[in-house]
Amino acid sequence: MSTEKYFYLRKLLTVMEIEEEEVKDILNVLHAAEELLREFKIDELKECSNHIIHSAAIYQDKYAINTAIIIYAISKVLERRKFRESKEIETFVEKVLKGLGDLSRALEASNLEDFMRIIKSMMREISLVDRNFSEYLEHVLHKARLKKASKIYEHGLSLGKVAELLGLSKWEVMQYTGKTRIHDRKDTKTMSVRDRLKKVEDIFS
Amino acid sequence: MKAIVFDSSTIISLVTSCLAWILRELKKATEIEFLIPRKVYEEVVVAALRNWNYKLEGVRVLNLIGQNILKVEDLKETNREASRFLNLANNLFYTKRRNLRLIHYGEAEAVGLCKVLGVKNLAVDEKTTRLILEDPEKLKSLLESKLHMKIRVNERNLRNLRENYGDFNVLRSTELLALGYEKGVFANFLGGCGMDGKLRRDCLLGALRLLKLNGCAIGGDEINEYMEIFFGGLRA
Repeated sequence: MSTEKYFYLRKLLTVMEIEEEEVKDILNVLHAAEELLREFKIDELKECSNHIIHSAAIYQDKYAINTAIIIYAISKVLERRKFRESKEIETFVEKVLKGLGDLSRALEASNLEDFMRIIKSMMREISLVDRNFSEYLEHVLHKARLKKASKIYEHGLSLGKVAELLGLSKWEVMQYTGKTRIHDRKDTKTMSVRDRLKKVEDIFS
Repeated sequence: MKAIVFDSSTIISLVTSCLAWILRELKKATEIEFLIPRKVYEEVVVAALRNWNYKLEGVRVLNLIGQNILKVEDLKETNREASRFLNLANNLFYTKRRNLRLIHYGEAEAVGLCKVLGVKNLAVDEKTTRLILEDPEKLKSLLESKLHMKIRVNERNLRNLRENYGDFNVLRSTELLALGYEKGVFANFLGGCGMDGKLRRDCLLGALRLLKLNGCAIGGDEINEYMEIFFGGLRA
């Protein structure tokens, strides 16, 4: 097989790996995130990471999920006062803006390998800042994973499915979701407590 | 066979809340078996022991297994039944784009083990599996409201699901706790507290809230309902 044909086939395969609708969703979020970061609207940037969650729940692939994680982690790092007051922040924002732009370009060119390479390099950048400016033991990227896991669980995927997609253990996802209001929604209630108790009494009678 | 099959979510909330001893007390009072399939064992023991933060919890579950309170049922047929349920549940709802794969194999294996053994009692604390078994229409509404799009249902799979799994008794850790409370399993736990009625209320309320905080899919209003049943009303 010629090199040209090989690269053509490889590109074709990666294009098939991701659907057009999902590409559109991710690009919209990346463009919005870039805009919000330029204006330094951190709360809105954090919220923006949730706009890709429905795609993550439907397509369940690494592209939408990692986009959500990266954007959320960036917003969390930028929330830290110590970091905001440091001189490193400018370089970080510049690098992140470049990263977001590169991600969009990689996706537009259907170069998914490049997309994941850029994601990894941005994650390294975030980890570095996190190590220097955090007083917490828990890593910001890990926290971002948990946050997004709980959001996807809220969207209707099971706990096991969510843990698998985000590379987390069920133990940590349960402890995180338990501290949210996900289970207080009326639409997850299917039976009265009295009926449930009656059922369990019958089982043990 | 009188038994309850456990999904990992119920064991996780009981163990992280330090309430797994209730299973021992409930087992003492009845001849019921508490069973887990192989995949659930991997999630609650193997995965926990590999994680720095959950090693102690893994040991606690292992201890329950060693004391025959929990029994691992590793049956060959479970895989077939689990795949059958997984196939139904993950091809039940679809958007215009694709079908929604909602359930993981671990959850399906607990359901599969129930089918293999002819057991109808399933303990599951996570909400999606419970909704699929008890009220798939409700899950459809939840998906539509969260994904902001029309969700279609595979009617054949829905019928199949109702026919084969519609009679399951789904219970959560909170139901086991409430039953234990009713049966007096907290007597020793409260032994040094005298007969203070308020403390007894606080004990139940605190335990229910702890299970919720550790991931059991129960709403605050349902905890209030429990308090209403046992004490004639106390806001949770």
